[in-house]
Amino acid sequence: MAVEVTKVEEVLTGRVETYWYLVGKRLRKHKLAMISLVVLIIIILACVVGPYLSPYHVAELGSTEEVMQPPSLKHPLGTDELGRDVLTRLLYGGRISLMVGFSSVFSALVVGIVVGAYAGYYGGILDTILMRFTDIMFSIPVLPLLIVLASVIPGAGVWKIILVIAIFGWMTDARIVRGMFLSLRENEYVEAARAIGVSNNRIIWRHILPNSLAPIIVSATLGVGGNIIYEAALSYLGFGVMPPTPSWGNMLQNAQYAMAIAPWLVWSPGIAMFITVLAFNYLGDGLRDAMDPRLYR
Amino acid sequence: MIPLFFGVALVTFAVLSLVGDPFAQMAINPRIRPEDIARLKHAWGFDLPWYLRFFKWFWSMITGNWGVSIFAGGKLVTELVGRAIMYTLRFSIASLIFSFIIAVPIGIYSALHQYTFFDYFFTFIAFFGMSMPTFWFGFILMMIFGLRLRWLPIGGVMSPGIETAPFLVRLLDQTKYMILPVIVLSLFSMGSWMRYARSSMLEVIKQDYVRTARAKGLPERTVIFKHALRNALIPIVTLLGLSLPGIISGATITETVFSIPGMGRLTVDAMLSNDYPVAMVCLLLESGLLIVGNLVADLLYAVVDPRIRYS
Repeated sequence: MAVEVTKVEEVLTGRVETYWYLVGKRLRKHKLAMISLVVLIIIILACVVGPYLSPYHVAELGSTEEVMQPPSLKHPLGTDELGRDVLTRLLYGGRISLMVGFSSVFSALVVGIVVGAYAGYYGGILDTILMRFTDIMFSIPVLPLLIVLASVIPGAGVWKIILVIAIFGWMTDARIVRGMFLSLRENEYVEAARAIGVSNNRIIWRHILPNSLAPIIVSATLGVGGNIIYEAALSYLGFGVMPPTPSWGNMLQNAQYAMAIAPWLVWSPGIAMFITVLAFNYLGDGLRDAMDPRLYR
Repeated sequence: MIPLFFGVALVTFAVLSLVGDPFAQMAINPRIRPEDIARLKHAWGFDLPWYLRFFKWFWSMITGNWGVSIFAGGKLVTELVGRAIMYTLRFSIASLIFSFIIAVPIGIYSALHQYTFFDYFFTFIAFFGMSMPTFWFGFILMMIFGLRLRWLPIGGVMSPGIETAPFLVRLLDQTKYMILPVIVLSLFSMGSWMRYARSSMLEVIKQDYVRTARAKGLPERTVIFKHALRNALIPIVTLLGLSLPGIISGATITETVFSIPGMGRLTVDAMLSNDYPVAMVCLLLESGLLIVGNLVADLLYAVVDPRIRYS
């Protein structure tokens, strides 16, 4: 039914409806996903622009009267144990958390796609070796090793956390991509490309990969939210982003001990993180619905 | 499976050896003579390269000699791990049962009443659970029930000085300490169980044989419980096998928040102090359970679904 309507529209408007056009159209109908998208854009904008607008500097210490003050007009979200403005730190921490989320997903994705694509496309011994390795990485308890890596790799930079999360985050992507390649490499267009002498690398990157993007995008969207929580958990345990650089995770690190006297320190980073992750999850869910070929056909 | 296990052990050992040897710290203490450090290193085998140590260690592991902890006063690894496991199992099994019993029926009911208020509400709850950072949720519960209302203790596993009390009092006391951690542990898994049960049931009730069952006039109860539910449970049972490893390792954060001396904490502490006899046993238990869990999931899948046969 829906297909026929779009066909008529296609004829009337003379516009060819590509897969991605349809995905966009279906996504726009998914209310929660659209709300999430708007919320995410607002959060990202706030985190990028906010610190410039704030009258306080991230590392600016308040006077002794300003230590652990509850929310007021001067400090909308209160101040922390060093008298720093929580709202400023929250926005700045959001930058770090979002950056960790996006970059770790991106790096994991690059590794996952390369491993999955070659394993799925060539099959045989290469597939066996790569997938055994993936299985081994999958079977290792992640959190303890994340912590060890975080404490072993020198430096306190944010890139270290991104690297550490990516090292243990590429396996799911590799499996998804491999599965897609296994089924897509049998298609006629791949055979046609091969018949006219297209190189294997070109077939992998230009012919098959664009067709296997849908599940990758969904997994990446959900992954950003997941990795933000990961970073927060690592920072909470004291192995993530190192103070004084704020992140939503390490803002909560000291909050546990101040909980009885300064509950506002617990609320704001947690709520920011929760809303962001919730929005990523809803967006991922909406994308999955919009891209699902079973609903599409 | 065995090569997989070996591979996991090798990679884990290699990463662990990056921490360096546990006696390096002693070198900064002027009261410890360098000869003594060298002697200790030799006694524990730390003068060998890591791959040789790995094979030595792996051999004694197979032959059943799990060794003693380097730091915890020479206690047997089995003793340390055994005690931690008991705490962890108590919390994780309780939360597994709790979340399964609540979430699966809700998921199935949502699927049968798709797009109703009930469905939307619990879909939101599921997303809520999956998006909530566990440790933050723990903070909130502690703040509300522990500090504000003072109904429940905010951490630990039992009240001090209760060890000699009668059994029933102890049981009640320890249950009180379990409530908050179990809720925190359950929240996340409840979300995924709910979503999983819902989508699996949705898939099944669209099948032809369900329509056939309805068409031949079977009562709705029979259609749902005998025809649909049984098939919808197949992937759920698989997920049960896959959640097996989480029983031991899935609680590091929650254990830290509520100061529970369980496996998660033991593993992390042992790894950071490079108490490798303890750390390796913990890690291997966890990954071993993961591998076994996958196998169990596969086997269960074949048991509950007669269409699948492994050759």
